[in-house]
Amino acid sequence: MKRIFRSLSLVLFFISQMLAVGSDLDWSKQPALGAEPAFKVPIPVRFQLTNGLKVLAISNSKLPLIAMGLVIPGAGSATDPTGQAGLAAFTADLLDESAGMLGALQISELQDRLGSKISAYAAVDAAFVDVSCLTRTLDATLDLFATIVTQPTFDAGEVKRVHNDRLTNLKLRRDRPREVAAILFNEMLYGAESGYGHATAGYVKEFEKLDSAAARGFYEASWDPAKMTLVVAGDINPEQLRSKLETRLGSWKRVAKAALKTLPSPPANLDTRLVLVDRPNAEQSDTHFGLVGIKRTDPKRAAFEVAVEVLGGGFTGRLTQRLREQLGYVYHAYSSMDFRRELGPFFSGSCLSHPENSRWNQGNHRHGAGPRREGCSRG
Amino acid sequence: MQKVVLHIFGLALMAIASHSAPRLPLESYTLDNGMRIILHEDHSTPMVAAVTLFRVGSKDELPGKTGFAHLFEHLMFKGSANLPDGLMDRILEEGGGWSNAFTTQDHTVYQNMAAANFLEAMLWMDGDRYARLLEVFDLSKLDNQRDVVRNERRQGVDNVPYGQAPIIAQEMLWPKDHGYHWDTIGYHEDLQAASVDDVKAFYRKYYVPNNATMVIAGDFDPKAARAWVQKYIAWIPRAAEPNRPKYSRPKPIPEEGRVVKTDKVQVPRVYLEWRAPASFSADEPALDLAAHILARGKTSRLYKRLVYDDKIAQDVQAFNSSAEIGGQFEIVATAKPGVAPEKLIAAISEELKRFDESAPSPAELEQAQNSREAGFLTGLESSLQRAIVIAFYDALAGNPNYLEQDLARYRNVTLRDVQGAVKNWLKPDARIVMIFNPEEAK
Repeated sequence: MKRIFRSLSLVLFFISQMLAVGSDLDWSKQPALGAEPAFKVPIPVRFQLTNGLKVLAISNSKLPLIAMGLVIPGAGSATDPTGQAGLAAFTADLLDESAGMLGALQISELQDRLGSKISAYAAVDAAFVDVSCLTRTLDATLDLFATIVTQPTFDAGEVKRVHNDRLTNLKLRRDRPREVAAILFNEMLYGAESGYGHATAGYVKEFEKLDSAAARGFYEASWDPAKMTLVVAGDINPEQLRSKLETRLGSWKRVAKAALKTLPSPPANLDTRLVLVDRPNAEQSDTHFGLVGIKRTDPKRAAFEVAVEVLGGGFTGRLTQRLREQLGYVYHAYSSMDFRRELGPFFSGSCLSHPENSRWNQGNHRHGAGPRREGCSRG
Repeated sequence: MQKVVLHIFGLALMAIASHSAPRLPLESYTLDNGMRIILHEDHSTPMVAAVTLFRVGSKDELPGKTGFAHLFEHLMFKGSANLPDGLMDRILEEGGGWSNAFTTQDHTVYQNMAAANFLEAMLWMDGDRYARLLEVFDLSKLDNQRDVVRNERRQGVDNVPYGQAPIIAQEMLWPKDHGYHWDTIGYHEDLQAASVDDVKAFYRKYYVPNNATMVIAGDFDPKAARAWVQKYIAWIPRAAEPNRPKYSRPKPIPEEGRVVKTDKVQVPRVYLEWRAPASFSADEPALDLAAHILARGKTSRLYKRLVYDDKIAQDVQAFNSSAEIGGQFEIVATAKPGVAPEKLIAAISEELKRFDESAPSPAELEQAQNSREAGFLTGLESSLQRAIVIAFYDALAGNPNYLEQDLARYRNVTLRDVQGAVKNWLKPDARIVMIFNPEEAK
């Protein structure tokens, strides 16, 4: 009976939908939203390899693809040794240039033949290795991934080539105003000598001195499998995965040990500072505007995230609404909070065309104060 | 250790031998008003996407009004009869989603994404703006988005190192009276010239249901979706088929064209450009794979020669971009400091000449095929991306169910196909060469 009633309701629903069509509708009324759908958060299978490496595995077989992310806390640029800015990023970049018996060309060729991608890079708090592959090439991709992360050889020839490429890139950085603005912003906020204040990619003068031995030393001190987490998602069977990973990564031991460097605390009192970098005849000015925010473990994090979204998220963010949709001053205006182990930076940014810079400054200040004064409204 | 290496290579070869294509279950039909509707269910997350592709892009613009198709795209978010300016964003962002769009040379694609219970609201909003935009349109909206788009151009073109290159490339590759002669972003003076009457005429001509394909993808009940499409979209009256500008096949480029420019940069960059085949035409897959063989990965011919071995380039890339009535193949290389651009051009030319002498090796082709297929499949992970791909299949290949055929046309490419495509399309005397030098070198 219940089933018949439900079927009848459905038929009536569809008839009512069909009857009220097009111009007969009261278009001024937004249709009522149906019940909010339940979202079942995928629960990862968790296990540890014998060396302590933590694994989170989520099975999803919609497409014949697998994605993996290895997180290496303490191997990011915040732990660059003094005078060696850029070392964490350089080290991560070198892993897939020579490993085991493989050189850079072989590693690259293998990835292409497998349809796999393996890329290692350093952010501020951690280094990461991202992997993607087809289901059918998982075993071979894991072989290659394990070789890259556990047996990097820092071959002198490959290191020299990558060093030269990265050095050139540092020299060309001043052609890219957005990058210049971001780097100067962090320097001003934290101090160029601090873990969070220096450029992750480094600086020409310090980078020139880096070499294979420095990278090997950083790898041995900072890439500790017992501290790492590997997240695997996609077309996998978690039990089979566990065995595959144990075989390839379970015996990986760190060569040496070193405590994580303690970061200098951000300055307690920040005066308002304005840094201008002149780029004659530039079409626009790239701006970074912000202050030191909170730690990612801060209990106020959720409230902060909402505030950042209200200010500069999506198209409804206040910055976009005012600077773009009302005033037409910018194409894009946003705000962001980088939640880190220590106090991360909060900033808003935009590309402003001349001569509206002065008007933009007024707009930004007013809206920076908005969420605190007015509270948040869904209307 | 040698054993490990052999083991990896062995598995790689095995991997190449087995192929399985994912399927995209879908149903498609045409409304009485001519709009194509495609439903693609995927209940893996409680989200739904509604994508509408209109067959209008920058090639449909008139001279002196370039950039208009894209500028118009912005205006579709500025409100319609029952949808005040900004309401669409508020509704969808409150639903954990968003609304956006992009414009190409041939198409304009609108995307809505939100929680599954927002599908009816999406179709209500789309129905209103696809039928009743002009009732509340005025000059202030046009002026506002004109400013926004001009800032978009400054941010994406004018204030970017080497940013003028794509614009100059199109100007040199296609004749003045061809719709691919100008870039989608348009020229500042043309954007400034756009009028309210232009907006009205454009909307009435191209934003008609018989010029569109809508794809709904994600977590929805197909019966409810069909009913809502009927309710909010099917009533929009069919209109005349757009009488769009017609372009005849341009005369072949008779000889190499060269242009030298300066920019606020420290090292030179060279661009080699050719006309290329149209989307879904016979040579497209072979030229796509040629781009991989030339510049994808460290063992690709150009990367290995210019960057890895000779160390004369900081980077090198190759792209094949096909569009509805033609395509563009380009090779871009940035010089190492102190290296003359001519040296890069000579090395690239030599590598292309090697295709005359011999076809690529089977290993090169396999790498290109695997790498391309993996990248393509990764791009299908989200239901939104699948909706966009399906919409393009419907509009360009004439079949929304084209996925298997699409994968097959790349798997079936032979060594001779690649060699032939390079020989036919990337001729040294049919190319455009652009050199960007640092301003100091004036």
